[in-house]
Amino acid sequence: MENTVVKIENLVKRYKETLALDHFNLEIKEGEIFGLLGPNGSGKTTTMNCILALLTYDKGSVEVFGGEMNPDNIEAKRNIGVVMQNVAVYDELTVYENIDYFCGLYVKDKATRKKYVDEALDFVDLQDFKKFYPKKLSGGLLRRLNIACGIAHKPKLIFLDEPTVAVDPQSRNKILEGIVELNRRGATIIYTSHYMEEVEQICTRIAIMDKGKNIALGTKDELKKMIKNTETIIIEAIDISSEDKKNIQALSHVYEVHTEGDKLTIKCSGGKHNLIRVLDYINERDIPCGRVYSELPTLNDVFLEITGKELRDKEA
Amino acid sequence: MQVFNTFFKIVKKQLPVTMIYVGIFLVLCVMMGSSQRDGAGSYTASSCTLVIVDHDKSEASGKLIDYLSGIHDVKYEEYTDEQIQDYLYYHKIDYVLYIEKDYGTTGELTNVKRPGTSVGIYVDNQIAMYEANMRALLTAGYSMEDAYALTLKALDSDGLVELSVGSAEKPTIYYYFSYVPYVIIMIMFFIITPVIVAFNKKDVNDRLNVSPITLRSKNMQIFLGAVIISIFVWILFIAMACLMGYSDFKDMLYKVALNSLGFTITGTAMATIVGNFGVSGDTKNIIANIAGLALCFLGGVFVPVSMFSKGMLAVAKFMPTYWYINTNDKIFEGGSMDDIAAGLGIELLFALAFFMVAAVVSKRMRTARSS
Repeated sequence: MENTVVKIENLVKRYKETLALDHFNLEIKEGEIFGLLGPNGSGKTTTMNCILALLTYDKGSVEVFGGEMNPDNIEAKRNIGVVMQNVAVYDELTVYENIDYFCGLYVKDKATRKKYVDEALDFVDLQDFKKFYPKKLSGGLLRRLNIACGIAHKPKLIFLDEPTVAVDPQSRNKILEGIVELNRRGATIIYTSHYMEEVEQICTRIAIMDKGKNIALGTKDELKKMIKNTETIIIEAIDISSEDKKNIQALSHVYEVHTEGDKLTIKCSGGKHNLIRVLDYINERDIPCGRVYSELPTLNDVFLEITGKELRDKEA
Repeated sequence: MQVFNTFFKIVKKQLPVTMIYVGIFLVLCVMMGSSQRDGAGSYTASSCTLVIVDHDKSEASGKLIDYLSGIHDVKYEEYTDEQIQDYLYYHKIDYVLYIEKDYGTTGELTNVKRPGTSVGIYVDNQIAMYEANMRALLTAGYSMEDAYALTLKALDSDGLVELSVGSAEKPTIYYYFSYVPYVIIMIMFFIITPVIVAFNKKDVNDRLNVSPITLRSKNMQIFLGAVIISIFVWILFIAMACLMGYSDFKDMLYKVALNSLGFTITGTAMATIVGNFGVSGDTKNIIANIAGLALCFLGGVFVPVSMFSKGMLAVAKFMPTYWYINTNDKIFEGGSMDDIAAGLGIELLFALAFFMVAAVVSKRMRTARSS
């Protein structure tokens, strides 16, 4: 049976009048890439900081590696690596010195440390920049340095708090690939993000958070099964009468039809060949239309259906 | 000892700017020291070349001429106006005094001064002082002879000038130790503050806090680093002083060393406070400059406290620099350990108070972050 690495019970955290964590419960098993997904301000970072004993909390308990987590739990700390949301490095030290410094907080032996630092440099592909100072690095490279500083000592449990914020797509992919590789090498990963695509891509289990609560928990497939929507069909540039809309709504497994400008959205629950049925109807009635496509539900749909709001603010 | 080692790596980055301060300080010290010795610090009355044209030829005018002859090089030759203009222009004479007819009763004098110098004002002052004394004594009923004798006594040239910057000649090393507080403050702000700021940066600090290093160990390593830097800076300045003029202060070496050590500790404590507030970059530079200059001006480093008003003096006593300078003056005036113990003690109390403030600020910041 897999060991529990992190166990949170009934955690309550208040910032004055604001309830940041509301009787939050969570259990993370060894070997998982666990995603904490939620909109900004949902309590992801607060949860992480409470687990790491960086924040005090009002109620509840946090266990890491089977022991109560507090600032004096040195044994647990030895096996933890953290990649902060903001780049947490010394501007006065070079890339190499930064990684060496943070690795040295855990690994005393110089030879081992040198090996680990070189491996971390290779891992984040920063060998060519090891003598650079952080101020000379681009945003993507800085993020990679931030990751290297958190993982160089080969921790068993790694916390990654939105490591891809403000990162270009190329660097983002490298980072995500790296996280999967770390997990493959045996590390348990706790990954917080508000990018549902990333969480879907790499996480084995996901907790969706909102207003300090754990509103859904499971694998991405389990989460998607929790909701009514199983398929969304979108037809662009369509000129459709209200009678036709009613008829489409009456098709089997269709539970919602709505138009937005000249775009028709049809939501289906269960069933097979929903797209073919819709296309057959359009064809039969000779309704003019543009592009037609079908989308499977995303975690955003899960979040939307549970909370009634979008997971992520629409980007401009 | 990762924190300790990194402490010095960060310090290393600050060395160039620190060395610039040390260099400028040394140059200024030598310059100020020599100018103080050549100038106000070693004042001697100097004589000028005077031409006196006596139209009165009375006993009173004769006494005035006698008085001036005792101080200056007086020429009695007859000169034409053209010659006088030429001699003034070529600096052969400094001052021409015309004693007008009936000077004995009216006291009327006119003069021509060499332009562009303060010599004329100097002679004017002497004549004004002489006249005021003579008039007062004559009005009081003294004879011309007695009044003259008493005036000469009163205007004894040694008593005429009172130097507020200290009449005793001081060696250059005195000025070195007088100005050293400024450079120590600046160096500490430029070395200690950035290190404390770097270690207290929230995200970096969080990384440290989740590592196996305890808060106590981290603080001890930073403290140890600060102590070593302070000692190094202190030894550096004592060594430079020895190179500049060991013979000038060898008898009081341990006293000036103790005094400067006390102030170095105070400077370290001040820099620690600023660092704990998380002030860095340009803001740190502004604070360093304002704090450094304010402490030095108000504490008597740049302006002697003897020139301070009562109010300013009261304010100065709340500055550690005042107590440093006060102790330094006592040391160079030959004060014993008993004389300087109080000043040293107050400096250390300032340091203790500043360290306590720094600890409180640090704890408050930490608590605010974790709650």
